[in-house]
Amino acid sequence: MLGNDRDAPRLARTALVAPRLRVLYLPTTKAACTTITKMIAQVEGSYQPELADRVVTNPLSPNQTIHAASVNGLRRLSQLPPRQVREILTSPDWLRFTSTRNPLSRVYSAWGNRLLLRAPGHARRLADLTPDVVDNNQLDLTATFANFVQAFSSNTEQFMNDHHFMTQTRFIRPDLISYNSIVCVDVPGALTELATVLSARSAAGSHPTDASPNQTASQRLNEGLGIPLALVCDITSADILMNAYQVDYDTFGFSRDEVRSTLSPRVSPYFLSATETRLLHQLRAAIQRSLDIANSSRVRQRLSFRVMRLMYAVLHKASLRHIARPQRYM
Amino acid sequence: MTIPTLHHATLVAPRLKVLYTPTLKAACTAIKWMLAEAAGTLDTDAITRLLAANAHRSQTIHNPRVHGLTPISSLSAREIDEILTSDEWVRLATLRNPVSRSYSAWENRVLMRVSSHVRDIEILSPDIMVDGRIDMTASFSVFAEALRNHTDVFMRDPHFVPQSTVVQPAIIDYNMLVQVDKPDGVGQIASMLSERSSKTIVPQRHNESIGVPLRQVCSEATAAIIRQVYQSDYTTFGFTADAFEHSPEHYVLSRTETQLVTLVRQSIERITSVSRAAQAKMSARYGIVQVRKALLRKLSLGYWYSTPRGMNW
Repeated sequence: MLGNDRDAPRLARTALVAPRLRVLYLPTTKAACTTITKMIAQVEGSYQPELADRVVTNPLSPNQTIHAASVNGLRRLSQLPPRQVREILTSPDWLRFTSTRNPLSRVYSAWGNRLLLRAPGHARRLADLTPDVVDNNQLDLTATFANFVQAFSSNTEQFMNDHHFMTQTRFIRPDLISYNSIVCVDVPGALTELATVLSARSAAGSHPTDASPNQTASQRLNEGLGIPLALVCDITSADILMNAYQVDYDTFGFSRDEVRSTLSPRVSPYFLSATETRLLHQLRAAIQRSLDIANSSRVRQRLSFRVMRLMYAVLHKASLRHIARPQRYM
Repeated sequence: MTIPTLHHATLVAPRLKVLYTPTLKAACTAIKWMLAEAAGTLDTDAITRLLAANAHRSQTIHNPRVHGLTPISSLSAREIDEILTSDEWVRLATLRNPVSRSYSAWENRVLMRVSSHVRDIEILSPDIMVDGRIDMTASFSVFAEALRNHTDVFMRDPHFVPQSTVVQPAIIDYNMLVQVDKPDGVGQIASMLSERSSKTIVPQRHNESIGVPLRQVCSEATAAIIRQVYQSDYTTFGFTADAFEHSPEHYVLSRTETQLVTLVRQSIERITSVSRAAQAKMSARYGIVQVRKALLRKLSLGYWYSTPRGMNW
């Protein structure tokens, strides 16, 4: 249904389906996708936070485990039969939605999360391109961000290959999926409105004998450091980034001036305190350790499965040898 | 000679002829790194293979696969006897001023929530918040009160156990007792190890402190409580009772610092969960359940256990 487009497999793997609510949601990274996924799973009734303790993935915090299929309990579009996929993508009964965010705020958030905090994921490799600037044991956030902008403009394609830095136009492909709602998370109240829509769909879809349909409220799961963009980014850097994401401004009608007007031509260096810098290093070290454990577990599991498969094959052959044709496996 | 249970953590490096009793929160991470490096038993390749819930890579040195040192409990009585009496052996233990050690333990176990064995400790010494920020001075004071009123609970965590319980000169005749918070305390140990191993052993900082000075957080009243709890340490080792300000200006973390503390706590919580889950997936029971599910999935032509949740759990 999504055709032979190069992005079709990615979209099918990424898009989440809540069959009871009749909702398809494409989680746009760095556009409140953690919050929205949790809201949908809660309303769908498939959310099982207690399973988070069994997930061997490498997220930054417990909130992030919502992205594990076993925790959110939602289906991926790629797991469904073609007939159901066709219905989901075309039926007017289905809510097909995604979220967007002002490109400059989004790229700043992606930098803060992926590169500054070193959250797990492919973007960690990009951290080598954007070294920290540290002066007297204090991280210079302004200079570090300027380093990122420089690296981004020289290696735009490399950055854009990562979902967190990819343009939203390419990420959500509105030309391939006919969304009937695109929620702009910068708009005040947008998430609250979405929560109301989802709760209403739950009520409409519930059986009259149900005690009470599932409700949700938007609760922003903030994992940033809360340092305003204007303290770190000057107009020149902003222009470089906005030009790189021009297609998003054109496609979704974001205003370039909205954020730009809050910025200054020059910003003074913004230093993290020595304690903040140490805490940041502790956080990175903890994330690295979490990654080590997850990777080690993956390697061991792969090995265990191989051993199990070998044992199964040996047992299978042995049983066949004894039961069916003894000469065949001699 | 037999070694009491409490000394089972004591390690030896036979080639260097060094015995070391690690005292938690007295540079034991740094010393184990140096000792393993000097003894040539350090295996850094093992670090990424471990599933243990250590908060940082540097903490994996406490795993025997990484440090490779010999636990004294694994030696014969004759070998132990020689180690404990021979002049050729260095019998090393480290100490730290109890107030400074308690602050370090509080910061690590309570403030940062580094995988504590005793959950009650976090409940007994909550964060004191001021306008959404952590008041370090008030929080540390509440901790000291809790330590005095619920000493038995805190003593379940080895990080809070008095040093006089761990380092018992009556059982082991230590000929090198080093106070690590004195200038060049760790440096002395590095020199000894360099000399014995003919390698250049440099003390590495494995600093997990957030760098807030003790004097800005600890009042005289708080220090007095800690001195009272750890009286046995003062009596046994003759620590000096440093004076603190009676009413220091409260040290309150910034919003960003508070947010970073929250993020570190969450990350450490995840490490514990991931480690537990990873170890569970290594069990034979998990393997058998998975094989059974795979068979049932095949028999039911994909009807049973076909969702991600069903496949894994």
